[in-house]
Parts: sequence; C-alpha cells; structure tokens
Amino acid sequence: MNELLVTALILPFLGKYRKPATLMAFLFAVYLSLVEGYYLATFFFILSIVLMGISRWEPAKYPLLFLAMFDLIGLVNSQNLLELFLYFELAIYASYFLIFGKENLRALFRYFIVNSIGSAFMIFAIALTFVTSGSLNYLTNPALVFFVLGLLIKLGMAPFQDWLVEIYHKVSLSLILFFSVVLTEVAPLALLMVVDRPVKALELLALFSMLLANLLALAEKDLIRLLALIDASNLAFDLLAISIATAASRVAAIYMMFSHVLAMALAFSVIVLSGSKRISRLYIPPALTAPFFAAFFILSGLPPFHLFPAKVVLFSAVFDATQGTSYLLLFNLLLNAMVALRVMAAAKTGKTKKAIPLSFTVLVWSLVLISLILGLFPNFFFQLSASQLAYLGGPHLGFSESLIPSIPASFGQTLTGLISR
Amino acid sequence: MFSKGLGLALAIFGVASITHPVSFEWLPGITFGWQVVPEWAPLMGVFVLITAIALFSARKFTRKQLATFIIFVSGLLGFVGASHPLQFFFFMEMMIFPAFYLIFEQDPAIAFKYFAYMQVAALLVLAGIFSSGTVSAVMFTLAFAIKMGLFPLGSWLPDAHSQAPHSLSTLLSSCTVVCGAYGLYRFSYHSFLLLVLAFMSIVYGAWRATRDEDLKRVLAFSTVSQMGYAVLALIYAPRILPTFLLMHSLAKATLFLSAGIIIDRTGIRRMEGLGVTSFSLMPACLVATLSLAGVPPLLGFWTDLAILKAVTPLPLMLVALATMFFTLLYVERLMAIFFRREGRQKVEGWLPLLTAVLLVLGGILYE
Repeated sequence: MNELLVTALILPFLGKYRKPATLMAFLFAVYLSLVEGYYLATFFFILSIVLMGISRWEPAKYPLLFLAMFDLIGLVNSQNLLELFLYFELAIYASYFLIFGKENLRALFRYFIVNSIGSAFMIFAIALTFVTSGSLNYLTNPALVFFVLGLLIKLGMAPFQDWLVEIYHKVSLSLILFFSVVLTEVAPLALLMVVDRPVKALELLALFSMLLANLLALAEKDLIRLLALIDASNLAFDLLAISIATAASRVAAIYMMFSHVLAMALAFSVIVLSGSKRISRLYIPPALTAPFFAAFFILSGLPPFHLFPAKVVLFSAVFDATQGTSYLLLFNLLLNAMVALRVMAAAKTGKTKKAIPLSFTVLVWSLVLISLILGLFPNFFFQLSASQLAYLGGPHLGFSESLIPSIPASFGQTLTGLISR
Repeated sequence: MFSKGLGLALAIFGVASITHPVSFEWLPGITFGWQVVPEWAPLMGVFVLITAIALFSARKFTRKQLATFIIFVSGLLGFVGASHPLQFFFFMEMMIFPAFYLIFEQDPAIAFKYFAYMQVAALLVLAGIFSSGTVSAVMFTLAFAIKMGLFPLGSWLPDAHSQAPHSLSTLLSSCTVVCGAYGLYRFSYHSFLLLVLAFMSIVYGAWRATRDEDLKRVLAFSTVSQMGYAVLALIYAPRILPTFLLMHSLAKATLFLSAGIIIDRTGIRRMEGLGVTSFSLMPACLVATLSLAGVPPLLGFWTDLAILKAVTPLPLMLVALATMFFTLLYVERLMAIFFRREGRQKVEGWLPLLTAVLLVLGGILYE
C-alpha cells in the first residue's frame, strides 16, 4: 500500500510522461496485488489498464485514474469507519476532476450536490455511532441505516439514479465505463464491510429499489437511462444479498459484483458505440450485432453466459435464508430479464456513419468471450469471490468469518432426483 | 479453418464422451456430469457426424457466424450428455442465442418468434425442475412439445427451419427437435396430453407437407409429422425410440443438406417449376424420403413397423397407418423435382450421400 501511495503522489508531476508512467504504475500495482494474493485489486488494476487502452484523455487525467483506483483499494483495506469514509471521498474527488470539462459543468455541479448530501448522511451515521458506542469499528442499528442510505444516494441506486444518468449523457465511453464499472460497482464492497448482521429494513429497501428500477426500466425510452436503471437494479440485488448477511449470501454479493462489472461494461460499450439514444431508434451496426445480442442476453441472466451462475448463487443463498424473499427476488429476476429482452426486441440492423475503433472491437469481443468462459466454468470465479470475502472479513471492522460456503443444501436437494431414467 | 478445427475437436470430444464420462464441479454443490446414456450412444454418434457435415457445408459462413454456430453445436452435444437437471436448462439456452443470431441475419421477425418459443420452453423446463408430481410432468410435456414442434405448440418450427442458414436448418431439423424427444425420455411426462399433441401433429404435419410450396417448409412440416410418431414410440415402444430418432436424424440431414445445395445453386425455393438433374442428390433424397415413408428394406421400415405393432389402441394405430400414405404423397412431391423436364439445372453435392448410405446400411443390418 505504501509503495502505491508514493507512486500516486509522484505521478502528477511527471509532465508529458504521465500517461506511460501511469501505465507502468498500474503494471506495478498488478504485480504487487498478485504477490500479496489480493485478487480483487488485481481485477480493478487490470480494468484500469483496459480503460487506459481505450481512452483518449489528456495526460493530466491518467494520474487521477490511478489515484481513484488506489483509493478504492484503500477503502476495502480500511481499519475503521472514518478511514473507509475518507478513502471513499478521495475516490469521488478524483472522479470530479476526471469528468471536469466545460461542456459538463452543470452535470458535475449536480453530481457534487448529490454526493455532498450522501456524505452528510454518512458523516452523521459515523458521528452517531461514536457518540453512542464510543467506537469507530461497529455501526449501531440506526446509524447503519443512515450510512447505507448515504452510500446509496452517492451510488445512484433507484430512485436516486438521475444524477448518474446526466453524467452518462455528457461524458465519453471510457468515463462511462469508469463510473458504471468501477465506481458504482465498488459500493457493495463498502456495504459488505459495514453490514455484518441481517437487517430487515435494508432487505425491504433492496426489494423496493429493484422493483422500482425494473418497472421504470420496462417503461424507459432513453437507452442510457435504461442502462443506468439496470445498473441500479443490479446494485439492489447486491444490497439484498448483503442485507441477508449469511456466509453464502455475502459470497453471492461479491460474485454478483464481479459479474455486473463485466456485464455492464459490455452493455454500455455496445450501446454507446452504436450511437443510438432512444429505444425506438436503436440501430445496431453490423459489426456489433453479435456483441449487442450477447450483451443483452447476458444481462437477462440466461445461460450459457456468466450472469446465470451468479444469479443461481444469489437465488440459492436467498432461498436458503428466507424463502418468501426468494420468490420476490425470482419475480425481479424475471422482470430484469424482460427489460433486457425488450431492448433486444427493439433492435434494428443499420449502418453507423462513424467507424468503430479496433480497441473497442477487441474490448467487446473479449468481454463476450470472458463471459462465455465464466458461464461454462464459474467455480473458479466463485472461489475467488469467497476468498475475497475472507480477506474483507477477519482483521477489518470486526468480522471473523472466513469459511468458503457451498451452494446451500436445501437448494441443492431441490435439484436432485428429477431425472426419471 | 481454426473454427472448423475447433468444431471438429468438439465432435471428437462428443464421441469420446460415449465411453469416457466427464464431470466437474460447476459451482460448489452442483456437479455437472457428461455421460451419454448407453442406448442413445449411436444417436450421439450420428449427431457428431451430422455436426461435422454441417460444419463443412457451411462454406459461406463468416468467422462470427462460425463462432456462434460452434456455441450452438456445443449446446446440442451438451444436452445429449447432460446428467444434472440444471444442465438441461443450461444447454437448451446455450442453443437459443446462436440460433437466434444466425436466423436474425436472415429474417429478424422469425428470429424473435423462434427466440420467444424457445425461451418459453426453457422456462417451462426450469419450472418443471422446481415443481413436482403432475404439475412437473405437464411442464416438461409442454416444454419439450414446443421444442419438438408438436402442433399446435410448434408454429415456430416451419418458419425457423425454412429461414435458417442451410447448415443450421440441417442441425435444427435433424438434431435439436430430437433433443425434445430425448428430454421427454429423461424426465417425466403427461401421457394423455402428449398423445393428443402427437395425434394432431401426425395429421397436421403430413397434410401441410402435401400442400406447402416452399421446399424447406415441406421438409419442416414433415418433421412435425415425424415427431408425432416419435411420441408414439416414446409412449408405446420406448426401446425403439432411439433407433427411430436416429433414422429421422439421418433422413432429415440428407434432405436438408440436399435442399440447401439445390437452393444455393438454383436460387429457387418454390417447388413449382423447380427441376434438377443430379447423379448424387437424387439417390440420396430417394433413400431418405422412402425411409421416412417406411418403405422396406430401409431403416425407416423397421422402426415404423415396430411402432405400429406396439401402438395398442386400434383407432390410433389405424390413423398412424393412414397418415403414412400422406407421407408417400409428399415424398412423391419432393422427388418430382428430379424428374421434371422443363427448366432443368444440373446440381451435384456428395455430402448427403454419406448419411443416405447409413440409412441403407441401418436397414440391412437392423436386428
């Protein structure tokens, strides 16, 4: 961590060498995280390198990307609530500068205001905890709700997703990927670190949010807004798994987080590259037809792609904990699939005027391939998620579980003894 | 070339799985196994052969199309070797996406129709897995009836089979509909419901095959009718089912491959006015159509005879027998294209002969 902190501080002063130096720094970070067995960080650093490969930013912005990534890693390594909050804020501030531009000042201002409101909730929760328990390691029940609410406002969960949509409309694809993939998807990690017991209020909030997001998405006409709503419903799936707080559901949350990162990256890429804004005028260039359908097939959660095992893990964990909630979840998973299928049904093939850069073509096809491989052989991914849970727990914030759970027995039994011959 | 090599490797893996079962932990607590049921092993072998032929006949496929086609083939071979209930759903879905994409390029409306029907079938399988008793049996019956294209649940079949690229329609008609019958064989089913659907399919499929004008649609309707017979075999003579389906697969592969070659070379799909002269396709089609009609000494004769002998309700047996004459009628229509004098074009293609020879050998060696 210290080596990375020093690197993050040096990078902005390297003038015209900032881009290659940042790339070297990311490679160094990948090496360090691999050596230390911290695969979650490796995952984010590799994603950053991909982002660097496809972006056309001015050199000054690359050190900011490194700083944001460093902060996210600091966040999941936090030893107490205040540290967690500070790393989160730093990452957000780095993102302010990343998206800074004359054309999107209004969106940036709105982003700033919404984030400040979220921060206020989080600070209030930390203060409440400190005043009532004298500790910064454990959130008391009312404080927990405020803290989570603050996080969710910051991260664009339904119905607080509008500021995010405005940003998506203004910035380039590489920045959209940074927001949708890195920044908002890391929220479940922060939530995992503070929610260590079943909280019914959060479970209800998650169910309400996913239902709202899915219903709004079914009626939405703007494509970017629709994707933001799908993103929001995915966040709600994670929140549900986290709020149940069993070993299996916590692994499911991390698994879903990894999975959403890949699925949303692909979906945003194909939609932005197609140049379509409205669902009624969704023209897919021939070069993107297969990745487009693959992206929404993946988002619908159907096999053979990677989101299917993720949803099996999620459903089985919820099914084992509370069967009533699992049926509501199943209904929402179906709604989620319908949203994705609606987009597929609206697609028309057409020729786009602008050529699609080779880097993006490679990106979308790589994502489709990774999704297929992880759908066919998801066990490695599952074990990785479980080991990350063990890493998140243990020394930090008072967690102690490191058990790698299997698919709950009651779900497994449901599936056996059906084949008659 | 790489894609075709990969496809062939898959096919070899398919053959190897007949004797060497594979299993791995898909997720903790869910083990996916891959082992072909012994009596279905010859059919698996035929699937592999047809897959290899379809891959080599897919000359016009782009790289993207070949890649999706290979995903489809993996799903198909995976379905036959599946051992965990969830695998059946998994591999059904695995076939949907590539087939949808390949049909979408030809006709988006029909692709969505195919997609919707297949999705409903897959979800019914999932519902069947999570329910029990009669409800489960009805779910599986409806799901696999859609997959087999039984009337009135299978209106997707003639459209999708006729609009799909030729290599895909060969596999759709000879292998994937067979997967429906295989699914019913592996899971529970509702006999009465299935029998009603089978009866309607036998009559409707044969009648439409004598009326339709599109070459590939005629073949597709013949599949509907033949799947009705497959259900009769499933209910009254389950031991003959794998052999009947093997005969169907070989015959349909021969006919769809031939139709693909004829349509490609002549550019004509309508049977009226289509005249072809061919030393290779004519005998291949003759063997395949006569085998479908149950003419001795071809394999179709022995399987049809075994089914008719096993069907105990006399009225049902009589209807099945009567409908076989309809089969002869559309066989006559199909073969007429080889004897029409006006506008004849010379078309040759040797791949269909491979499967036709197996039909003859099967008939001679049948025990």
